Amino acid sequence: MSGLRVGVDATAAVALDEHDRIRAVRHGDTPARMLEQLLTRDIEAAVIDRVVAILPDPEPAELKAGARVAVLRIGAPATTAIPPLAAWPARELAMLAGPVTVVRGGHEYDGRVSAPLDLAAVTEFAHGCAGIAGAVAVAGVHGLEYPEHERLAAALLAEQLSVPVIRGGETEALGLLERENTAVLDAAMTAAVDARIGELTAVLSARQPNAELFVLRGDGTVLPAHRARRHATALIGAARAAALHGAVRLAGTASAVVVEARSDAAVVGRVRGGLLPGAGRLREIAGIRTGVRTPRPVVVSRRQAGFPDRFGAALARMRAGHDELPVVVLGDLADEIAGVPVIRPPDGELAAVLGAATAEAAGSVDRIFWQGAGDRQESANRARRLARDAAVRAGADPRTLRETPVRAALTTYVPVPAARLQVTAIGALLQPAPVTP
Amino acid sequence: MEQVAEECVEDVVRGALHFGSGGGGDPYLGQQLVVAAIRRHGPIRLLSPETLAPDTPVLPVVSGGTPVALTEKVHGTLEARTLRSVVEARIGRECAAVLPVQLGSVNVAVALAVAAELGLPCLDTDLMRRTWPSIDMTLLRLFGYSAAPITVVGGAGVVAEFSRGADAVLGGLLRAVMPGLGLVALISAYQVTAGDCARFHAGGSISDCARIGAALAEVAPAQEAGFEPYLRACGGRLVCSGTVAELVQRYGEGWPRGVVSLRTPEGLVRLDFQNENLIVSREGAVLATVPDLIGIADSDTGALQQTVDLVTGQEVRVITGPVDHRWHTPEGLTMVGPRAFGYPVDAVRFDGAVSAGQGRSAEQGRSAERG
Repeated sequence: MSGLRVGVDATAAVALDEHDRIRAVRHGDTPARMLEQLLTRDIEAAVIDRVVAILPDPEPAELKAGARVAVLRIGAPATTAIPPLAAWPARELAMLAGPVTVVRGGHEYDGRVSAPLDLAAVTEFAHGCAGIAGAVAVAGVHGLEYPEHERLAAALLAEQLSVPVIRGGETEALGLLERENTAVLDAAMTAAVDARIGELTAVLSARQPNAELFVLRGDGTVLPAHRARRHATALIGAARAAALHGAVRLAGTASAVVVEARSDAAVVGRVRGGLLPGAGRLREIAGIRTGVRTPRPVVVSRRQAGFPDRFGAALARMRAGHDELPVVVLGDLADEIAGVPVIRPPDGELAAVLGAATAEAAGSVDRIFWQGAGDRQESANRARRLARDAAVRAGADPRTLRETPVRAALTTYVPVPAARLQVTAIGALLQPAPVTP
Repeated sequence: MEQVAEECVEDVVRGALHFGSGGGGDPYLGQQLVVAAIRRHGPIRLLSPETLAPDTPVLPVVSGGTPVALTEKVHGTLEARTLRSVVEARIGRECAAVLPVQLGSVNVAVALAVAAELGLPCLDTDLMRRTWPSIDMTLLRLFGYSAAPITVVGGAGVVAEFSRGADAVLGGLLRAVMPGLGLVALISAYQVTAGDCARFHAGGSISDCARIGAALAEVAPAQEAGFEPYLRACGGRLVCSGTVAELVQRYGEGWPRGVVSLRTPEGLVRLDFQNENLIVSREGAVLATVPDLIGIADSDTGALQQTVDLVTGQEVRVITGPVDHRWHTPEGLTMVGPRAFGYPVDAVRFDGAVSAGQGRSAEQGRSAERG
């Protein structure tokens, strides 16, 4: 028999049974205390399978209070025209920058070693970081497809320094700077995420030690808590994504166009098979580009003139080519939506926590594949396997995985048998199974 | 414009994207490259070629390779110095300035960064007046200059030179050595003096980028009318707004051929591209082609896009703009017209008129568009 699933954010905590029926709701306290009350007073004896938490987006002040991050890049003699952090905004640079170096090493696009990894330089860098750096970011050239140098260097640094070491390759994104920047920001915010997760873990270990804790990402899918602490930037925007997913669940469907009306703005988004379509953009934090893809929801501000027109245009665009999808509306938005049949589900104010409690797990691949060694189908299959593996590591049940089509972009300017392949796999979270002694 | 300081880098790189015509690389990398160089060496001086003695040698600079490889493995600082010393050793004189070979967000940035690294000014001019995919597609070449000698510097200290030969062959040879260099190299070509640059009046390139980039920052993307500042700055027009329905690329002879389909209120719009956008057409009627510029802007942000990065469902606006008039001569069209890229159509200007080098009247072109 399966247990309950709990979703919690800054405003509410909700427990669902296996039929997605609401068993209990708590409001008006901190996430940890709402969770505690839910577990101790509302559902006492019931078993909790998992808790999915929506953490608040990090505040600039937290970045300021965050760790000094040391950055080790593997790529010299290449890449030195833009050293790590060299062109960051001055304010963030002053807040975060610890020791920085570029050591020899890295790979070419086809897997050749550009230069052997300079282990002596890595060791020397580690000595220079001791006592100064609160966290370390490591990123290597072509380190997604060829992670050996990154892994070696990270292991060496972790051995010598007792601080978090985050690798660029932990974020699936094209571009050395994008991965490096993400690793630096994630490293800086590890402690802040840890503190938030820690409060929830403390409640769970006292009350429901077998329950798994997950954290919601900005695309509305989950990461296990122990991995989420290394991906602070990927968690940004989770509340908005959760509301979109939750609205679709509340409407009893899998795909819909969703309108979330708030006092200051209306958010218009689309959910299709559990995924929010990407905007084709990477998230920027304080002008720093990360490797995290942003979903496409459009935010229409009510503060500017002409709200009904702008909202109407945004809704029409989101529905274009998806006329068959129902429109789900949360909140009060009567006049502007006249003429379109809509679903207004009950419990709309709980959409975000419901979206969390019912969230799925996904994995994506987005990298350059060298196709010279095998055929193109082979690399497409490899991309699919990598995406499925990533989804399973995020918590998905392999038997439930669905996939997007593989998208290929060929190399321009110099035609070579290499292509950027993108694919995402997504599935329901693995249910706990009884263990026979 | 007399110098590029940190506060105008974003405008310059954003404007250079306009001349990339859907290609030319990612602007973030370019912006980071120039900012890093300026923070190390100070603002980069811009010079008009007229201010130098006519026989002064200058150093043409272009980054070769494929944009995605460069985002992984950007240049090292050593390559610039190696390139300069090899070229100067060959000509036996010092170069007085860096000459950008092409406009595009990566290559404007690379030329500026190389200038900063070498402590040289950068000429406010370039050899293409936009991005073209091959080093032999320059205005100099149009006037009979050879692209040779070509000097290639790879990341690991590799130096290769192509001393002489037919330019199209050299362009092909250059692409052939790129895989061995990890698809990233710093390249110089053409033997050019400041006087040559002055004679061809391709001046104001970096200033144009800054001006157009500043106008792009003024764009209010939600409405078509919001693009007015940009259109005024580049002299272009907004062709249509639509949703990306499909993007396909296929391997072929030479560069991959790509097609983007846009759903627009006026029907399906098709965009043919290889490295840059080449032809935009609606229901079979050609609206504009190379050599003019064809750009795609995101309707949410107003930012010009690299065509290979478009995603299905993205809302975009298609903008066409004029290019240096010499590309519209019969010789220019032979080099960079639609047929040069393998498409059996006549060149159509950004505003729907027939290209002057085509030998047909503008009226015929407009009726073709209506058809």
